[in-house]
Amino acid sequence: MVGGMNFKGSLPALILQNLSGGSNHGYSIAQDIKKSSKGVLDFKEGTLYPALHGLEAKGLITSAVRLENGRERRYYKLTENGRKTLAKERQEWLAVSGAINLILKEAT
Amino acid sequence: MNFENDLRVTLLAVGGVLILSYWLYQQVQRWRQPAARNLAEWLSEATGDLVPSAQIRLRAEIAEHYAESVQHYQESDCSEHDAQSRALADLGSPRVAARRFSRQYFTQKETLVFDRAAGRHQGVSVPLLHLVVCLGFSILILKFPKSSALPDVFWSILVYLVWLVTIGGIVVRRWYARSEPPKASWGTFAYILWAKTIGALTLHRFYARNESPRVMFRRDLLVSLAQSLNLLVMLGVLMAQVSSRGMMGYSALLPSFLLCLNNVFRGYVLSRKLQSAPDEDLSFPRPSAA
Repeated sequence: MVGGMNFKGSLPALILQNLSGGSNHGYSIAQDIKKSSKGVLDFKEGTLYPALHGLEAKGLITSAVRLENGRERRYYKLTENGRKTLAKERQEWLAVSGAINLILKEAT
Repeated sequence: MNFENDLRVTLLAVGGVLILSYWLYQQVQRWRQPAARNLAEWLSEATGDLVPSAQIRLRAEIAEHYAESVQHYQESDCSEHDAQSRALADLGSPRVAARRFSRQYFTQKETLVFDRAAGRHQGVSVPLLHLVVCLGFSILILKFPKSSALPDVFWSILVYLVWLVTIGGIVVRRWYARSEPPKASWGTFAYILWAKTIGALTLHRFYARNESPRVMFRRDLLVSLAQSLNLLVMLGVLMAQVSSRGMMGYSALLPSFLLCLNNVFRGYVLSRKLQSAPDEDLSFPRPSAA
């Protein structure tokens, strides 16, 4: 678990990646990210919402309230703009992490 | 340094220490609050300072998130109490969340900046604050005469004139904030003349009322910043007047300078929020944006 590590800058990219598989709601997004990283990336769920709303304000995702089992849930969905941003961020991340891997492997 | 200078330094230092102590006391009180025991307390602490529209949205979403989390824990054989505690712990510290939320959304305190800029804030605190400051300066001037070509009474009267003009400006601004839409008149012109450092911005305010709330807010913010910078520079100059010559006089400008920096920083934060704030956050009662 690296919850203490500062990965909050990557949270928007993780959210975009999660939503690339289809629309989803806040609780499920948080659980999916934790599960996909096998519990390595842990974060406080209350801080997920400013990130979601920030992405929405930038037009990278949209949201709509749906009624499910008597509960009102806000579902988020990736926009075309968000899809492009995700592709760009993914590329950048792979380039940076690849470079870091090379350096760390050299050191060992 | 003579006795009078010593006393001035002591007065300024005591004032500074009192202000700093009060600020520290407020911070300590904030951090000494007990941890949230339930969702209502968590939401109150995390979102209590935000504008109503942001509060409504965040509270609804986080309450739904919490309910789902509790249900999930209960399904994995947790007691109701345990499930609630774990779901609350998963949300994290409400203080940390409040900090994150206040970076993303407008706080109620910040909206006062806009209200003041547009003259919608009708309280008497601002005129009274100006009066107290002027009284203080007047006492300092008369208590510690300064060797100058002009009599001390002149400086004292000048301080009150500044106060009268400032209050006049505030009253005129409030008067025009009431009418919808405001008409350009000699009164408007006089006000613009008075506020010549912010004249261009003010002119925009009066002649571009039909723009979107976002544009109006941005202009309000600039007006507010310009006004506070104006006032602070004026205060700094006055402080330098009543202080002794040399380093003491210049050091009296330091608090004003720091306050100016603080205002510029706050202005930067607010303008960043303006870029991303949803429209509903900008829709609290605004006669000019109707």
